[in-house]
Amino acid sequence: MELLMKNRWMLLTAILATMASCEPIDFSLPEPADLRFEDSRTWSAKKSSDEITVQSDDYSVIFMADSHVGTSHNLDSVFSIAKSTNASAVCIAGDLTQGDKNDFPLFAQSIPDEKEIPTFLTPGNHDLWSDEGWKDYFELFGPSSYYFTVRTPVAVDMFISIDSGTGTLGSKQLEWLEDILQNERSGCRRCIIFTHNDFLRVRHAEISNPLVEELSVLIDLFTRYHVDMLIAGHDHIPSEELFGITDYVIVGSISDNDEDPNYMQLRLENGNLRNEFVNL
Amino acid sequence: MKNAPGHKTKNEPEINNPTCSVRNFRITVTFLFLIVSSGLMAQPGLEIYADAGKNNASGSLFIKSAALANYEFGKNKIETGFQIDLKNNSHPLFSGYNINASREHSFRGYLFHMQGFYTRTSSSEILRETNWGALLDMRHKRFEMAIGTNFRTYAFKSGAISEYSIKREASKFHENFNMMYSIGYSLKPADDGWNAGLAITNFDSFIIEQGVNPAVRLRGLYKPGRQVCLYAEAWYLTAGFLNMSMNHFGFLLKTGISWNF
Repeated sequence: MELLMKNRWMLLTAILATMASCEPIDFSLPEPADLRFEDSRTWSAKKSSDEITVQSDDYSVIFMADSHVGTSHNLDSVFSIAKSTNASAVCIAGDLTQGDKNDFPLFAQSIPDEKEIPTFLTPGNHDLWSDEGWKDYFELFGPSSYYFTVRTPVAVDMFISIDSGTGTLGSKQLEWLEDILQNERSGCRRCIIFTHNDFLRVRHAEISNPLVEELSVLIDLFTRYHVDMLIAGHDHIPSEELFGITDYVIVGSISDNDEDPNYMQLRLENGNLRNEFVNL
Repeated sequence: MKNAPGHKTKNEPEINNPTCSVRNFRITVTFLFLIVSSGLMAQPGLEIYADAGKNNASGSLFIKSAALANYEFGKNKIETGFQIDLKNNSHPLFSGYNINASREHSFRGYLFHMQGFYTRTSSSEILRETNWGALLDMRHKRFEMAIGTNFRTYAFKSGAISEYSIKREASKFHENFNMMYSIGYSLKPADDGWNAGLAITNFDSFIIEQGVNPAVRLRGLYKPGRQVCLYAEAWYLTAGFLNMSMNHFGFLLKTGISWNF
Protein backbone atom coordinates (compact mmCIF):
# COMPACT_ATOMS: atom_id res chain seq x y z
CA MET A 1 0.00 0.00 0.00
CA GLU A 2 2.81 2.36 0.95
CA LEU A 3 4.54 1.64 -2.36
CA LEU A 4 1.29 2.31 -4.25
CA MET A 5 0.86 5.69 -2.52
CA LYS A 6 4.46 6.58 -3.23
CA ASN A 7 3.99 5.75 -6.94
CA ARG A 8 0.86 7.92 -7.07
CA TRP A 9 2.72 10.87 -5.58
CA MET A 10 5.55 10.37 -8.04
CA LEU A 11 3.09 10.25 -10.92
CA LEU A 12 1.33 13.40 -9.73
CA THR A 13 4.69 15.18 -9.34
CA ALA A 14 5.69 14.12 -12.85
CA ILE A 15 2.38 15.40 -14.31
CA LEU A 16 2.72 18.74 -12.49
CA ALA A 17 6.35 19.11 -13.58
CA THR A 18 5.37 18.39 -17.21
CA MET A 19 2.51 20.90 -17.07
CA ALA A 20 4.75 23.54 -15.51
CA SER A 21 7.30 23.14 -18.28
CA CYS A 22 4.72 23.63 -21.06
CA GLU A 23 3.79 26.94 -22.67
CA PRO A 24 0.61 28.28 -21.09
CA ILE A 25 -2.42 27.60 -23.29
CA ASP A 26 -4.07 30.78 -24.54
CA PHE A 27 -7.85 30.41 -24.44
CA SER A 28 -8.54 34.06 -25.31
CA LEU A 29 -11.01 34.57 -28.13
CA PRO A 30 -10.07 36.54 -31.24
CA GLU A 31 -11.26 40.08 -31.74
CA PRO A 32 -15.00 39.95 -32.41
CA ALA A 33 -16.23 40.92 -35.84
CA ASP A 34 -17.91 44.11 -34.60
CA LEU A 35 -14.71 45.43 -33.05
CA ARG A 36 -12.72 44.69 -36.19
CA PHE A 37 -15.36 46.51 -38.17
CA GLU A 38 -15.10 49.56 -35.89
CA ASP A 39 -11.32 49.58 -36.37
CA SER A 40 -11.85 49.39 -40.12
CA ARG A 41 -14.17 52.40 -39.98
CA THR A 42 -11.56 54.55 -38.23
CA TRP A 43 -9.18 53.83 -41.09
CA SER A 44 -11.80 54.59 -43.73
CA ALA A 45 -12.52 57.91 -42.04
CA LYS A 46 -8.88 58.89 -42.65
CA LYS A 47 -8.73 57.58 -46.19
CA SER A 48 -11.42 57.73 -48.85
CA SER A 49 -12.29 54.65 -50.86
CA ASP A 50 -9.78 53.77 -53.53
CA GLU A 51 -10.53 54.24 -57.18
CA ILE A 52 -8.50 52.68 -59.97
CA THR A 53 -8.76 54.29 -63.38
CA VAL A 54 -8.19 52.11 -66.44
CA GLN A 55 -7.91 53.30 -70.03
CA SER A 56 -10.00 50.55 -71.59
CA ASP A 57 -13.34 48.93 -70.88
CA ASP A 58 -11.52 45.60 -71.07
CA TYR A 59 -9.48 44.89 -67.95
CA SER A 60 -8.66 42.08 -65.54
CA VAL A 61 -8.36 41.53 -61.80
CA ILE A 62 -6.50 38.59 -60.26
CA PHE A 63 -8.18 36.82 -57.33
CA MET A 64 -6.40 34.38 -55.08
CA ALA A 65 -6.76 33.01 -51.55
CA ASP A 66 -5.16 30.95 -48.82
CA SER A 67 -1.50 31.77 -49.39
CA HIS A 68 -0.77 30.60 -45.81
CA VAL A 69 2.60 32.34 -45.64
CA GLY A 70 5.06 30.79 -44.03
CA THR A 71 6.68 30.62 -47.38
CA SER A 72 5.70 32.76 -50.33
CA HIS A 73 6.92 31.08 -53.51
CA ASN A 74 3.48 30.70 -55.13
CA LEU A 75 2.33 34.08 -53.86
CA ASP A 76 5.31 35.78 -55.50
CA SER A 77 4.65 33.84 -58.72
CA VAL A 78 1.06 35.08 -58.95
CA PHE A 79 2.16 38.66 -58.31
CA SER A 80 4.70 38.29 -61.15
CA ILE A 81 1.97 36.93 -63.44
CA ALA A 82 -0.36 39.77 -62.45
CA LYS A 83 2.28 42.34 -63.33
CA SER A 84 3.26 40.67 -66.61
CA THR A 85 -0.39 40.35 -67.73
CA ASN A 86 -1.14 43.98 -66.83
CA ALA A 87 -3.86 43.07 -64.38
CA SER A 88 -5.46 46.17 -62.91
CA ALA A 89 -5.49 44.85 -59.35
CA VAL A 90 -4.91 41.79 -57.19
CA CYS A 91 -7.35 40.71 -54.48
CA ILE A 92 -6.52 38.08 -51.87
CA ALA A 93 -9.44 36.45 -50.08
CA GLY A 94 -8.00 35.64 -46.69
CA ASP A 95 -5.71 33.23 -44.90
CA LEU A 96 -2.81 35.33 -46.05
CA THR A 97 -0.70 33.78 -43.31
CA GLN A 98 -0.59 30.67 -41.17
CA GLY A 99 -1.31 32.91 -38.20
CA ASP A 100 2.14 33.13 -36.67
CA LYS A 101 3.22 36.63 -35.70
CA ASN A 102 6.32 36.39 -37.92
CA ASP A 103 4.24 35.50 -40.98
CA PHE A 104 2.66 38.96 -41.29
CA PRO A 105 5.88 40.88 -42.11
CA LEU A 106 6.89 38.03 -44.46
CA PHE A 107 3.61 38.39 -46.32
CA ALA A 108 3.97 42.18 -46.39
CA GLN A 109 7.37 41.83 -48.08
CA SER A 110 5.74 40.01 -51.01
CA ILE A 111 3.19 42.72 -51.74
CA PRO A 112 4.29 44.83 -54.73
CA ASP A 113 4.39 48.59 -54.54
CA GLU A 114 0.94 50.13 -55.11
CA LYS A 115 2.26 51.93 -58.21
CA GLU A 116 3.18 48.56 -59.73
CA ILE A 117 -0.13 46.90 -58.99
CA PRO A 118 -2.75 47.77 -56.35
CA THR A 119 -3.38 44.91 -53.91
CA PHE A 120 -6.52 44.46 -51.83
CA LEU A 121 -6.71 42.08 -48.90
CA THR A 122 -9.27 40.58 -46.57
CA PRO A 123 -8.44 38.45 -43.51
CA GLY A 124 -9.18 34.77 -43.00
CA ASN A 125 -9.55 32.63 -39.92
CA HIS A 126 -5.84 31.76 -39.82
CA ASP A 127 -4.89 35.44 -39.81
CA LEU A 128 -7.16 36.05 -36.83
CA TRP A 129 -6.71 32.96 -34.78
CA SER A 130 -4.26 34.37 -32.26
CA ASP A 131 -5.26 37.26 -30.01
CA GLU A 132 -2.60 39.44 -31.70
CA GLY A 133 -3.73 38.42 -35.21
CA TRP A 134 -6.08 41.29 -35.92
CA LYS A 135 -3.71 43.83 -34.38
CA ASP A 136 -0.87 42.63 -36.63
CA TYR A 137 -3.13 42.51 -39.67
CA PHE A 138 -4.60 45.95 -39.05
CA GLU A 139 -1.24 47.62 -38.41
CA LEU A 140 0.26 46.26 -41.61
CA PHE A 141 -2.63 46.07 -44.04
CA GLY A 142 -5.39 48.34 -42.74
CA PRO A 143 -9.14 47.76 -42.79
CA SER A 144 -10.91 44.51 -43.54
CA SER A 145 -14.27 45.99 -44.58
CA TYR A 146 -14.00 48.48 -47.43
CA TYR A 147 -14.64 48.85 -51.11
CA PHE A 148 -12.82 50.12 -54.15
CA THR A 149 -13.98 50.99 -57.63
CA VAL A 150 -12.52 50.57 -61.09
CA ARG A 151 -13.40 53.41 -63.44
CA THR A 152 -13.29 52.61 -67.16
CA PRO A 153 -13.97 55.14 -69.94
CA VAL A 154 -17.63 54.06 -69.92
CA ALA A 155 -18.55 52.70 -66.46
CA VAL A 156 -17.59 52.17 -62.83
CA ASP A 157 -17.36 48.69 -61.29
CA MET A 158 -17.44 48.11 -57.55
CA PHE A 159 -15.41 45.59 -55.52
CA ILE A 160 -16.32 45.12 -51.85
CA SER A 161 -14.20 43.35 -49.24
CA ILE A 162 -16.10 41.86 -46.33
CA ASP A 163 -14.52 40.29 -43.28
CA SER A 164 -15.83 36.80 -42.50
CA GLY A 165 -12.68 35.57 -40.79
CA THR A 166 -14.41 34.57 -37.57
CA GLY A 167 -17.34 32.87 -39.26
CA THR A 168 -19.75 35.79 -39.17
CA LEU A 169 -19.87 39.32 -40.54
CA GLY A 170 -21.19 40.67 -37.26
CA SER A 171 -24.24 42.92 -37.06
CA LYS A 172 -22.40 46.21 -37.71
CA GLN A 173 -20.61 45.05 -40.83
CA LEU A 174 -23.85 43.56 -42.15
CA GLU A 175 -25.57 46.91 -41.63
CA TRP A 176 -22.67 48.68 -43.39
CA LEU A 177 -22.86 46.25 -46.33
CA GLU A 178 -26.56 46.89 -46.74
CA ASP A 179 -25.94 50.63 -46.56
CA ILE A 180 -23.20 50.47 -49.24
CA LEU A 181 -25.37 48.37 -51.53
CA GLN A 182 -28.37 50.61 -50.99
CA ASN A 183 -26.52 53.87 -51.59
CA GLU A 184 -23.59 53.08 -53.90
CA ARG A 185 -24.61 50.04 -55.91
CA SER A 186 -26.96 51.81 -58.30
CA GLY A 187 -24.13 54.04 -59.56
CA CYS A 188 -21.99 51.08 -60.54
CA ARG A 189 -22.20 48.66 -63.43
CA ARG A 190 -20.88 45.52 -61.77
CA CYS A 191 -20.64 44.58 -58.12
CA ILE A 192 -18.21 41.93 -56.95
CA ILE A 193 -17.77 40.98 -53.29
CA PHE A 194 -14.77 39.09 -51.98
CA THR A 195 -14.37 37.50 -48.58
CA HIS A 196 -12.70 34.50 -46.97
CA ASN A 197 -15.47 32.09 -45.87
CA ASP A 198 -17.28 30.34 -48.69
CA PHE A 199 -21.03 30.85 -48.49
CA LEU A 200 -22.65 27.92 -50.26
CA ARG A 201 -21.77 24.51 -48.95
CA VAL A 202 -20.97 22.87 -52.28
CA ARG A 203 -19.30 19.85 -50.72
CA HIS A 204 -18.72 18.20 -47.36
CA ALA A 205 -15.93 19.80 -45.41
CA GLU A 206 -15.12 20.45 -41.78
CA ILE A 207 -14.82 24.18 -42.36
CA SER A 208 -17.28 26.79 -41.20
CA ASN A 209 -19.80 28.50 -43.41
CA PRO A 210 -22.02 31.39 -42.32
CA LEU A 211 -24.93 30.37 -40.10
CA VAL A 212 -28.14 29.81 -42.03
CA GLU A 213 -29.79 32.95 -40.62
CA GLU A 214 -26.90 35.11 -41.83
CA LEU A 215 -26.63 33.31 -45.15
CA SER A 216 -30.33 33.93 -45.86
CA VAL A 217 -29.95 37.64 -45.16
CA LEU A 218 -26.87 37.84 -47.41
CA ILE A 219 -28.47 35.95 -50.31
CA ASP A 220 -31.45 38.24 -49.96
CA LEU A 221 -29.22 41.34 -50.11
CA PHE A 222 -27.18 40.01 -53.03
CA THR A 223 -30.34 39.41 -55.01
CA ARG A 224 -32.06 42.69 -54.22
CA TYR A 225 -28.96 44.72 -55.07
CA HIS A 226 -27.72 42.65 -57.99
CA VAL A 227 -24.39 41.46 -56.64
CA ASP A 228 -22.84 39.77 -59.65
CA MET A 229 -20.23 37.63 -57.98
CA LEU A 230 -19.19 36.49 -54.51
CA ILE A 231 -15.59 35.34 -54.47
CA ALA A 232 -14.34 33.35 -51.48
CA GLY A 233 -11.49 31.09 -50.48
CA HIS A 234 -11.29 28.88 -47.38
CA ASP A 235 -12.20 25.59 -49.06
CA HIS A 236 -8.96 25.32 -51.08
CA ILE A 237 -10.87 23.63 -53.92
CA PRO A 238 -12.12 25.86 -56.73
CA SER A 239 -15.81 25.77 -57.60
CA GLU A 240 -18.51 27.91 -59.11
CA GLU A 241 -22.26 27.88 -58.50
CA LEU A 242 -24.85 30.25 -59.89
CA PHE A 243 -27.64 30.75 -57.36
CA GLY A 244 -30.19 33.41 -58.09
CA ILE A 245 -28.39 36.14 -59.98
CA THR A 246 -25.13 35.80 -58.08
CA ASP A 247 -22.22 33.62 -59.11
CA TYR A 248 -20.72 32.05 -55.96
CA VAL A 249 -17.08 31.35 -56.73
CA ILE A 250 -14.49 29.63 -54.54
CA VAL A 251 -10.91 30.18 -55.64
CA GLY A 252 -8.34 27.53 -54.86
CA SER A 253 -5.39 27.84 -52.57
CA ILE A 254 -2.00 29.23 -53.60
CA SER A 255 -0.29 27.86 -50.52
CA ASP A 256 3.15 26.41 -51.21
CA ASN A 257 1.94 23.28 -49.43
CA ASP A 258 -1.02 22.82 -51.77
CA GLU A 259 -0.67 20.12 -54.43
CA ASP A 260 -2.74 22.00 -56.99
CA PRO A 261 -2.21 25.69 -56.36
CA ASN A 262 -4.34 27.94 -58.50
CA TYR A 263 -5.75 31.42 -58.78
CA MET A 264 -8.54 33.06 -60.75
CA GLN A 265 -8.36 35.64 -63.45
CA LEU A 266 -11.47 37.77 -63.74
CA ARG A 267 -11.84 39.67 -67.00
CA LEU A 268 -14.35 42.42 -67.50
CA GLU A 269 -14.89 42.82 -71.23
CA ASN A 270 -17.29 45.68 -71.91
CA GLY A 271 -18.96 44.84 -68.64
CA ASN A 272 -19.21 41.09 -69.27
CA LEU A 273 -17.63 38.95 -66.57
CA ARG A 274 -15.33 36.13 -67.66
CA ASN A 275 -13.60 34.14 -64.96
CA GLU A 276 -10.99 31.46 -65.43
CA PHE A 277 -9.23 29.26 -62.86
CA VAL A 278 -5.53 29.07 -63.65
CA ASN A 279 -3.19 26.39 -62.29
CA LEU A 280 0.25 27.49 -61.26
CA MET B 1 -31.35 45.86 -66.71
CA LYS B 2 -34.92 44.94 -66.01
CA ASN B 3 -34.61 45.48 -62.29
CA ALA B 4 -32.48 48.33 -61.07
CA PRO B 5 -30.14 47.42 -58.22
CA GLY B 6 -31.86 47.80 -54.92
CA HIS B 7 -35.25 47.51 -56.47
CA LYS B 8 -37.55 45.69 -54.11
CA THR B 9 -39.87 43.00 -55.35
CA LYS B 10 -43.44 44.08 -55.77
CA ASN B 11 -44.64 40.51 -55.70
CA GLU B 12 -45.94 39.27 -52.44
CA PRO B 13 -43.64 36.69 -50.94
CA GLU B 14 -44.81 33.17 -51.62
CA ILE B 15 -45.30 32.17 -48.03
CA ASN B 16 -47.08 35.46 -47.45
CA ASN B 17 -49.17 34.79 -50.50
CA PRO B 18 -52.70 34.29 -49.10
CA THR B 19 -53.28 31.11 -51.14
CA CYS B 20 -50.04 29.51 -49.93
CA SER B 21 -50.48 30.58 -46.32
CA VAL B 22 -54.07 29.40 -46.26
CA ARG B 23 -53.04 26.04 -47.75
CA ASN B 24 -50.30 25.52 -45.15
CA PHE B 25 -52.62 26.68 -42.42
CA ARG B 26 -55.34 24.27 -43.55
CA ILE B 27 -52.93 21.33 -43.62
CA THR B 28 -51.76 22.13 -40.12
CA VAL B 29 -55.27 22.71 -38.77
CA THR B 30 -56.45 19.49 -40.36
CA PHE B 31 -53.68 17.58 -38.63
CA LEU B 32 -54.41 19.33 -35.36
CA PHE B 33 -58.12 18.59 -35.70
CA LEU B 34 -57.51 14.94 -36.50
CA ILE B 35 -55.15 14.61 -33.59
CA VAL B 36 -57.38 16.34 -31.06
CA SER B 37 -60.74 14.97 -32.17
CA SER B 38 -60.07 11.34 -33.02
CA GLY B 39 -61.63 8.98 -30.53
CA LEU B 40 -59.12 6.27 -31.37
CA MET B 41 -56.18 8.20 -30.12
CA ALA B 42 -54.05 6.69 -27.47
CA GLN B 43 -52.35 9.88 -26.45
CA PRO B 44 -52.56 13.24 -28.17
CA GLY B 45 -50.28 16.03 -27.04
CA LEU B 46 -49.72 19.70 -27.64
CA GLU B 47 -46.68 21.89 -27.21
CA ILE B 48 -46.61 25.66 -27.40
CA TYR B 49 -43.51 27.75 -27.00
CA ALA B 50 -42.16 31.24 -27.57
CA ASP B 51 -38.64 32.26 -28.60
CA ALA B 52 -37.02 35.63 -28.08
CA GLY B 53 -33.50 36.27 -29.24
CA LYS B 54 -31.02 38.36 -31.11
CA ASN B 55 -28.26 37.42 -33.48
CA ASN B 56 -25.84 39.06 -35.87
CA ALA B 57 -28.26 38.70 -38.76
CA SER B 58 -31.53 39.60 -37.06
CA GLY B 59 -30.87 43.34 -36.75
CA SER B 60 -32.87 43.58 -33.54
CA LEU B 61 -34.72 41.39 -31.08
CA PHE B 62 -36.93 38.79 -32.72
CA ILE B 63 -39.86 36.98 -31.16
CA LYS B 64 -41.33 33.79 -32.52
CA SER B 65 -43.94 31.38 -31.35
CA ALA B 66 -44.81 27.86 -32.40
CA ALA B 67 -47.50 25.28 -31.78
CA LEU B 68 -46.81 21.58 -32.28
CA ALA B 69 -49.44 18.88 -31.94
CA ASN B 70 -48.54 15.25 -31.60
CA TYR B 71 -50.29 11.94 -31.42
CA GLU B 72 -48.82 8.74 -30.02
CA PHE B 73 -50.32 5.38 -30.90
CA GLY B 74 -48.42 2.41 -29.62
CA LYS B 75 -44.79 2.94 -30.43
CA ASN B 76 -45.52 5.45 -33.16
CA LYS B 77 -45.77 9.19 -32.95
CA ILE B 78 -46.62 11.85 -35.49
CA GLU B 79 -46.17 15.53 -34.91
CA THR B 80 -46.93 18.63 -36.90
CA GLY B 81 -46.79 22.31 -36.19
CA PHE B 82 -46.28 25.80 -37.44
CA GLN B 83 -44.21 28.78 -36.47
CA ILE B 84 -45.29 32.39 -36.30
CA ASP B 85 -42.89 35.34 -36.36
CA LEU B 86 -44.30 37.90 -33.98
CA LYS B 87 -41.43 40.36 -34.35
CA ASN B 88 -38.89 40.13 -37.12
CA ASN B 89 -37.36 42.46 -39.70
CA SER B 90 -37.88 40.41 -42.80
CA HIS B 91 -39.90 37.29 -42.18
CA PRO B 92 -43.58 36.97 -42.96
CA LEU B 93 -46.04 36.11 -40.18
CA PHE B 94 -46.29 32.38 -40.94
CA SER B 95 -42.63 31.54 -41.14
CA GLY B 96 -42.48 27.79 -40.79
CA TYR B 97 -44.28 24.50 -41.02
CA ASN B 98 -43.09 21.04 -40.10
CA ILE B 99 -44.20 17.45 -39.85
CA ASN B 100 -42.40 14.44 -38.49
CA ALA B 101 -43.08 10.82 -37.69
CA SER B 102 -41.15 8.61 -35.31
CA ARG B 103 -41.18 5.06 -34.01
CA GLU B 104 -39.78 3.70 -30.79
CA HIS B 105 -37.44 0.75 -30.87
CA SER B 106 -35.44 -1.07 -28.28
CA PHE B 107 -32.11 -2.78 -28.68
CA ARG B 108 -30.34 -4.60 -25.85
CA GLY B 109 -32.33 -2.70 -23.29
CA TYR B 110 -31.75 0.71 -24.86
CA LEU B 111 -34.75 2.68 -26.07
CA PHE B 112 -34.31 4.82 -29.15
CA HIS B 113 -36.47 6.63 -31.67
CA MET B 114 -36.16 6.69 -35.45
CA GLN B 115 -37.60 9.86 -36.84
CA GLY B 116 -38.28 11.20 -40.32
CA PHE B 117 -39.09 14.88 -40.75
CA TYR B 118 -39.90 17.62 -43.20
CA THR B 119 -39.57 21.34 -42.40
CA ARG B 120 -40.36 24.30 -44.56
CA THR B 121 -39.42 27.78 -43.44
CA SER B 122 -39.50 31.20 -44.97
CA SER B 123 -35.93 32.47 -44.68
CA SER B 124 -36.73 35.92 -46.01
CA GLU B 125 -39.29 37.64 -48.20
CA ILE B 126 -37.72 36.18 -51.33
CA LEU B 127 -36.13 32.97 -50.09
CA ARG B 128 -37.45 29.78 -48.53
CA GLU B 129 -35.70 26.78 -47.05
CA THR B 130 -36.85 23.19 -46.92
CA ASN B 131 -35.27 20.40 -44.95
CA TRP B 132 -36.05 16.75 -44.81
CA GLY B 133 -34.11 14.01 -43.19
CA ALA B 134 -33.88 11.31 -40.58
CA LEU B 135 -32.84 11.36 -36.96
CA LEU B 136 -32.00 8.68 -34.44
CA ASP B 137 -32.23 9.68 -30.80
CA MET B 138 -31.45 7.74 -27.68
CA ARG B 139 -31.63 8.37 -23.98
CA HIS B 140 -29.72 6.44 -21.35
CA LYS B 141 -30.15 7.47 -17.72
CA ARG B 142 -28.96 11.07 -17.67
CA PHE B 143 -27.42 11.15 -21.14
CA GLU B 144 -29.29 11.90 -24.32
CA MET B 145 -27.94 11.93 -27.80
CA ALA B 146 -29.24 12.23 -31.32
CA ILE B 147 -27.60 11.87 -34.68
CA GLY B 148 -29.06 12.31 -38.11
CA THR B 149 -28.82 13.76 -41.53
CA ASN B 150 -30.75 16.41 -43.40
CA PHE B 151 -31.15 17.47 -47.00
CA ARG B 152 -31.51 21.21 -47.30
CA THR B 153 -32.77 23.21 -50.25
CA TYR B 154 -32.63 26.97 -50.50
CA ALA B 155 -35.07 28.16 -53.14
CA PHE B 156 -36.24 31.50 -54.41
CA LYS B 157 -39.94 32.08 -54.15
CA SER B 158 -41.87 32.30 -57.38
CA GLY B 159 -42.40 36.06 -57.02
CA ALA B 160 -38.66 36.63 -56.74
CA ILE B 161 -37.89 34.35 -59.70
CA SER B 162 -39.92 36.50 -62.04
CA GLU B 163 -39.06 39.83 -60.42
CA TYR B 164 -35.29 39.30 -60.61
CA SER B 165 -35.31 37.26 -63.84
CA ILE B 166 -33.74 34.27 -62.09
CA LYS B 167 -33.07 31.31 -64.35
CA ARG B 168 -35.02 28.21 -63.30
CA GLU B 169 -31.85 26.14 -62.99
CA ALA B 170 -30.36 28.78 -60.69
CA SER B 171 -33.41 29.12 -58.47
CA LYS B 172 -32.49 26.30 -56.07
CA PHE B 173 -29.43 25.20 -54.18
CA HIS B 174 -29.23 21.77 -52.54
CA GLU B 175 -27.11 20.57 -49.66
CA ASN B 176 -27.10 16.80 -49.27
CA PHE B 177 -26.35 14.73 -46.19
CA ASN B 178 -25.74 17.52 -43.70
CA MET B 179 -24.97 16.27 -40.24
CA MET B 180 -27.34 16.75 -37.32
CA TYR B 181 -26.34 16.00 -33.78
CA SER B 182 -27.22 16.60 -30.17
CA ILE B 183 -25.49 15.42 -27.07
CA GLY B 184 -26.68 16.33 -23.64
CA TYR B 185 -26.57 15.54 -19.98
CA SER B 186 -29.34 16.04 -17.42
CA LEU B 187 -28.98 16.31 -13.69
CA LYS B 188 -31.81 13.85 -13.02
CA PRO B 189 -33.41 10.87 -14.82
CA ALA B 190 -36.02 11.65 -17.46
CA ASP B 191 -39.12 10.77 -15.41
CA ASP B 192 -38.27 13.06 -12.50
CA GLY B 193 -40.54 15.97 -11.53
CA TRP B 194 -37.93 18.54 -12.42
CA ASN B 195 -34.73 18.51 -14.33
CA ALA B 196 -31.97 20.63 -15.75
CA GLY B 197 -29.44 19.84 -18.40
CA LEU B 198 -26.89 21.05 -20.85
CA ALA B 199 -26.63 20.04 -24.49
CA ILE B 200 -24.60 20.81 -27.57
CA THR B 201 -26.64 20.62 -30.72
CA ASN B 202 -27.07 22.09 -34.18
CA PHE B 203 -30.84 21.88 -34.56
CA ASP B 204 -34.16 22.90 -33.09
CA SER B 205 -37.76 22.47 -34.25
CA PHE B 206 -37.63 24.90 -37.19
CA ILE B 207 -33.94 25.44 -37.79
CA ILE B 208 -31.02 23.21 -38.63
CA GLU B 209 -27.64 24.89 -38.53
CA GLN B 210 -24.63 23.54 -40.36
CA GLY B 211 -22.88 20.79 -38.42
CA VAL B 212 -19.86 23.07 -38.12
CA ASN B 213 -21.87 25.65 -36.16
CA PRO B 214 -22.88 24.10 -32.83
CA ALA B 215 -25.05 25.81 -30.23
CA VAL B 216 -25.07 25.34 -26.49
CA ARG B 217 -28.48 24.78 -24.89
CA LEU B 218 -29.22 25.03 -21.19
CA ARG B 219 -32.62 23.58 -20.29
CA GLY B 220 -34.70 23.44 -17.18
CA LEU B 221 -38.09 21.79 -16.80
CA TYR B 222 -40.75 21.30 -14.18
CA LYS B 223 -43.69 18.90 -14.24
CA PRO B 224 -46.51 20.16 -12.02
CA GLY B 225 -48.56 17.08 -12.93
CA ARG B 226 -48.20 13.87 -14.90
CA GLN B 227 -49.54 15.43 -18.08
CA VAL B 228 -48.03 18.90 -18.08
CA CYS B 229 -44.44 20.01 -18.46
CA LEU B 230 -43.17 23.58 -18.26
CA TYR B 231 -39.74 24.31 -19.64
CA ALA B 232 -37.31 27.10 -20.31
CA GLU B 233 -34.20 27.11 -22.45
CA ALA B 234 -31.29 29.42 -23.05
CA TRP B 235 -29.34 29.01 -26.29
CA TYR B 236 -25.95 30.40 -27.16
CA LEU B 237 -24.95 30.36 -30.81
CA THR B 238 -21.39 30.55 -32.04
CA ALA B 239 -19.84 31.17 -35.44
CA GLY B 240 -16.57 29.85 -36.79
CA PHE B 241 -16.28 27.10 -34.19
CA LEU B 242 -14.22 24.79 -36.41
CA ASN B 243 -12.18 27.61 -37.93
CA MET B 244 -9.90 28.17 -34.97
CA SER B 245 -11.38 31.69 -34.95
CA MET B 246 -14.65 31.79 -33.08
CA ASN B 247 -17.14 34.59 -32.69
CA HIS B 248 -20.33 35.18 -30.76
CA PHE B 249 -23.33 34.87 -33.09
CA GLY B 250 -26.43 35.18 -30.97
CA PHE B 251 -28.60 34.02 -28.13
CA LEU B 252 -32.11 32.71 -27.76
CA LEU B 253 -34.43 32.35 -24.80
CA LYS B 254 -37.28 29.91 -25.07
CA THR B 255 -40.13 29.07 -22.78
CA GLY B 256 -42.86 26.59 -23.42
CA ILE B 257 -45.47 24.21 -22.14
CA SER B 258 -46.40 20.73 -23.30
CA TRP B 259 -49.50 18.70 -22.48
CA ASN B 260 -50.17 15.03 -22.91
CA PHE B 261 -53.93 14.76 -22.88
